[in-house]
Amino acid sequence: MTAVFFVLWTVIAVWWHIPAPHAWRGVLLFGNMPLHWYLAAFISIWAGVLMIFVYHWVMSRVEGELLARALQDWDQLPEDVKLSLRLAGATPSGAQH
Amino acid sequence: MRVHPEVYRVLIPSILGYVVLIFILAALFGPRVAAGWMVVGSILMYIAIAYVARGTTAHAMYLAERRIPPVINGAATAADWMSAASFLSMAGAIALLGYDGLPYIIGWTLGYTIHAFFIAPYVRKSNTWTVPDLVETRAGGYGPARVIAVIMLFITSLTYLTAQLVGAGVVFSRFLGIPAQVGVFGALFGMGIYAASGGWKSITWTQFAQYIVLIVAYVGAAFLVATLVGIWKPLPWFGYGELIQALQSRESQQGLAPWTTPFAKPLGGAAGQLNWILSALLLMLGTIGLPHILIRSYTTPTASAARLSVGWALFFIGLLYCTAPMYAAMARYAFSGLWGRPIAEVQAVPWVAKFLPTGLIRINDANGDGILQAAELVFHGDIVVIGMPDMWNLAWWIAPFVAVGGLAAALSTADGLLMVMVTGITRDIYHRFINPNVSEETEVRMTRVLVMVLSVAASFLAFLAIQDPRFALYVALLVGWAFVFAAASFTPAVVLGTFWKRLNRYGIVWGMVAGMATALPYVLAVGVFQAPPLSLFGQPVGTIGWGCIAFAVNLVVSVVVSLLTQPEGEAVMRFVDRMRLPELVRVPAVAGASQEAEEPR
Repeated sequence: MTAVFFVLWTVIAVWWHIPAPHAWRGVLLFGNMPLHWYLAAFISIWAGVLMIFVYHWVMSRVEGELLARALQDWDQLPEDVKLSLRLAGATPSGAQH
Repeated sequence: MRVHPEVYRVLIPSILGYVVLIFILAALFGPRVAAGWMVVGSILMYIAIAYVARGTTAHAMYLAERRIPPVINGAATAADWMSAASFLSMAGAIALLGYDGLPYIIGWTLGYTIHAFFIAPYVRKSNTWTVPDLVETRAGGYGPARVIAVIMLFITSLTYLTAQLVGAGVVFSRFLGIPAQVGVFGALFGMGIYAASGGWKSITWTQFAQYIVLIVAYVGAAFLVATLVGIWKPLPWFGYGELIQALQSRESQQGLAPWTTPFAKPLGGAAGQLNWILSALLLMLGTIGLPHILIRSYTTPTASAARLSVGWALFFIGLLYCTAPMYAAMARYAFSGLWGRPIAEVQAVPWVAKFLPTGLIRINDANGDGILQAAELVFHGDIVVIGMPDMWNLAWWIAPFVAVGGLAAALSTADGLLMVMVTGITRDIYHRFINPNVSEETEVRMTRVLVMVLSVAASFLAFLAIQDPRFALYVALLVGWAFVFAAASFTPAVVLGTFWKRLNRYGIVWGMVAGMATALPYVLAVGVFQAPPLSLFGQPVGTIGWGCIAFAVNLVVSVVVSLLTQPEGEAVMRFVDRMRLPELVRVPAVAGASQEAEEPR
């Protein structure tokens, strides 16, 4: 998951700036804003912000699924993990904090 | 979200009281007195907040009790990050360099995205206390690794801190009418007191308030000018394309290359596409290795909160960074309006007349025709933000308020840097090597004293910097190179340390040494002694872009040395596992291990 997000990050950080002097330069948007300028001055920043929040949401879901699986296989968990989960109120019969 | 009621009880009345007081002073004594009190009053407000949020334990001093909610931590990180350079100088650099200044925008923002992916949650899950602590723990308790990390931390942070104090001194001198050398010590007074009062706990809440001040000042002034220029289409960030076209039309009449032309001007001593890309990449890699940013991952309750906090940090930073190019366009447009007019008439324009004596604007009638050509007007980058209220004739209180924002940016970053260095001495050297049995009370007291001592030392360096313009030049250069040094030292150690178990103590140490040995000579040769830059694939590489090479050298040396020497033992493998384990519950990863790691080292 992290590797996929990293590859996407290389697009906004590097790849889409490379055609700037050629392909993007003549393209205008938002009332004559040069696209190559706007990619670096605005779109990249907010794409980066969006990517973090999406990544956080995805990873939180993964962690939730792992927790559910851990509670399902409670007896097979190592003792220190069981202790950690109990301390946080997450047991097969209890709810997660 | 857990709120801190005492701080909110102070924060809101403080800001309201501050605003009312300024307007009363303006009515009674006039704008000049009120402008001075705006600056002084803001520092008093920060001290009040810091005092209320003060901490008395080592846990509060070093980790803000690990209880800062993600949004607050994100805003504090943003304030920690956005220095006087971001606030005052970045828009100026873009105004001067055009598209070739934009690596600062993407470089100083997109590093946070990979920080959220690869760094923040893992650093938090390590349950260490400081960055050198993390490096030593990952190196299997190898003391020299911690010592080298502390040295790197000082190289990176001290010059950065000095430059922040220079920025604060300049703000003081402009709005209080006192010499900048004296103003530096005014900044010391504020910064030292609130950092000493409660370490990271006080600093975090103060930075939160400083973020509010700096972002309202920066974006507020830009929006007011945007209204005058008429670029709300529907928001100014989307509407300044017409302004750019009008500017470029004036430039073509003057025979200049359009402002948005890519790869036309040098950045870090070299121009070209490869240098542009490498410079942006290096700033990203440096961002994630800066100790005063890394340490913000320690102050959240969980790894998940640390990751989310980075998202909020970039959101808050992005508000300023996407406004900076707009500032640059509006300022350049204002300057282009002077071209082609009689020089005597230009010199009589109120804002030009105001800034000519400061040297921020220089006019030279090179061809002697009495008409101002584009090449005959030179401006300093700092005027873009400082001078914007005057250029567009805004209300009297906007200019000092922008200065208060700049001061907030300088002080908030200075605090973070100061605290990181003090922690390096008290926690990483004194507590670890000299007196491991030191009582908590003594350690806290020592931290407070050292904050004041280091504040005075940094202020003295800033005093020297303002006295000697040559020294000031080197300080400014070194701030940019702080990113090169961070990327050449900490970034590979932290990333490899998390994702490659085979990395060992010798790989960490020799990687950091080799990275720095690659970065430092090049930076000195090209940056200080003006040697011609080396070329890669036929394109020159400037000092900033060279940091990518140093980063790669660190990676390669770390890997090769680790493979040639013994792997680390079972304890380090368990430590890495603990960092990489998904966070199943919203408490520090594994209870037993966490408690062990929370024990003072």
